[in-house]
Amino acid sequence: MTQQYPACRLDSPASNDTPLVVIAEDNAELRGLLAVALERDGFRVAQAATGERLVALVEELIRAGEVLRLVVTDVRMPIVGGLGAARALHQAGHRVPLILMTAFSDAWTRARAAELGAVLLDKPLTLDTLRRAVRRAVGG
Amino acid sequence: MKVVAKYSLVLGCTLAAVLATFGFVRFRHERRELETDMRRDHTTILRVLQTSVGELWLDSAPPRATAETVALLQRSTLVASTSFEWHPELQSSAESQQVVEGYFVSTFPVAVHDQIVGSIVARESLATVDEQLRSHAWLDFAGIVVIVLLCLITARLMGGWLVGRPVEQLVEQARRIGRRDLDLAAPPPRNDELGDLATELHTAAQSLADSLDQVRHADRLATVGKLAAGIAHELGTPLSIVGGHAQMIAGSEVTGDAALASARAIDAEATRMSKIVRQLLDFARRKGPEGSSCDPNEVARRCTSLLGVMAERAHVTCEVREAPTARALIDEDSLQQVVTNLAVNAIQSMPDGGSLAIAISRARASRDGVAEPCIQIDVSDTGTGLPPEIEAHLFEPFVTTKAPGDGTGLGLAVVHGIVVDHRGWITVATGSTGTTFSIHLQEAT
Repeated sequence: MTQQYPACRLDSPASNDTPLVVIAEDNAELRGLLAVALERDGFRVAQAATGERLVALVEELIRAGEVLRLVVTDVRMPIVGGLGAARALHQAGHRVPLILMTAFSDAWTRARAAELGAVLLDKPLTLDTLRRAVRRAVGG
Repeated sequence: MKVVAKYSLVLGCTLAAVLATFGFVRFRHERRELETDMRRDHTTILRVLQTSVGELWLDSAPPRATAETVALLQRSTLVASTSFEWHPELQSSAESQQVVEGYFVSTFPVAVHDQIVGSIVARESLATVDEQLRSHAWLDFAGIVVIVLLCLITARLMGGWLVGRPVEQLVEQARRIGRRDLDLAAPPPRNDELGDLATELHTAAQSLADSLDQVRHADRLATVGKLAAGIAHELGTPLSIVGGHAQMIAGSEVTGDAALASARAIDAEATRMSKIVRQLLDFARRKGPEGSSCDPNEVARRCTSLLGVMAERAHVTCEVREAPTARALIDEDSLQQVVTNLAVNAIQSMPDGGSLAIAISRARASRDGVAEPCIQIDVSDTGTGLPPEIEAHLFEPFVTTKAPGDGTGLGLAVVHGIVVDHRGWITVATGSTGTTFSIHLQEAT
């Protein structure tokens, strides 16, 4: 039997010039932690718990006229993972800076990340590492 | 030994045919020879008589000549086994020799002054000749039968000794290889094709044993590799959470109640990581004490009593079906771990209630296609069955049907490891009405 994943949400109702970031991660605790950290850094955060939800969410936001500054996603999620979702977004023509998080970065994963032009972060990751990577991806 | 029998039969028939043909040819030859002898004998004597009779007729006139001829011929008859008769009515000038009704008959005319005066007819019975030929033929026939029988017997005996037994041994070895019993003794040296076959079979078995060892080794390495990957993944996330919260507390990004919440999150993740490490250690140190045995019925009973409360809360009824004198070749703790693991999985797979049954029996079950006697322990539930994509990888580490964060996916890998270490095997039967895990273990005698 499968557990119901919590629906994604757009957390901060701040103004539209606050840059928008989407976080996709199946572990709710970690997802929540990352969202809090990035909000403290001045971002608006939207969350997704699975790869499909990530793709759907990105399309919803773009249709609503939002500008996505960054997608941060875990690689290993049930059914559709981060790589699958990123490829789907790529094929749909959405070019958003991408940060991939993975616990197991073998040569294959690194190659796929390079193909997608994504930054690959190893788990366990420190908040510092993530925040620096986010600033570089959005700021640059 | 069917090959030898066929060979013997063919050999026997061929021999019989060849000998019979030879015998027949010789028979005919002998007959002709005897005839030729007779012909020559007759010719010789008749030539002499021709001359003698001719002279008689030169000297005397017919009545007297005839009487003297008959007398002469009678005298000759007395000497040989042939009868000589005078036939004045036979006026043909041709000499003839033929077989008539069992007699060899030679008819030689006598000519005086170029006039045929009659013929001498020599008659010799072929009876003795025939008798001789017949007794030769019977001897030959008896000889053929004896030779053929001797050949058949020898072929059967030698065939069985030279071919039959060695081939049966080879068949038995091949069967053992088929059962993956690869510990074959080296074949005794023989200087023929069967010896070659035995040697090659032995070499093949050894090479197969090597390959199997390599496969098992690679399998273990693959499992360790997967385990490492799994560990990295399982621990990576909790560590990130712990690090994140700790950093926020240390950097005073959270204070007061928020800091407290972070601290609690750290605690929860640390606990989870400890549980994973403990399960990994269980997986690593699985070997039970050698040679110990236990009563599976007792284990099943204890399991249901331990899980009683959990089952009640889940509205699951428990049932144990015992096989009274059964003892399994596994230590009690290991079996307890296995059965409990499977029972917990079963209860958790029936969120809306159902029934859990643990059945113990003595059975003959198939291990990779070969039926073996075993003690069988079935843990069955009435849940909705396992999804087909999981079935093939069921006992791999970190394969789980549970939601992420809910169980480590190591349970079945540990269970499988324990069972295999005790030289048993597990099978699964699943469908929409429930799942049964069947543990097969050696019976302790």
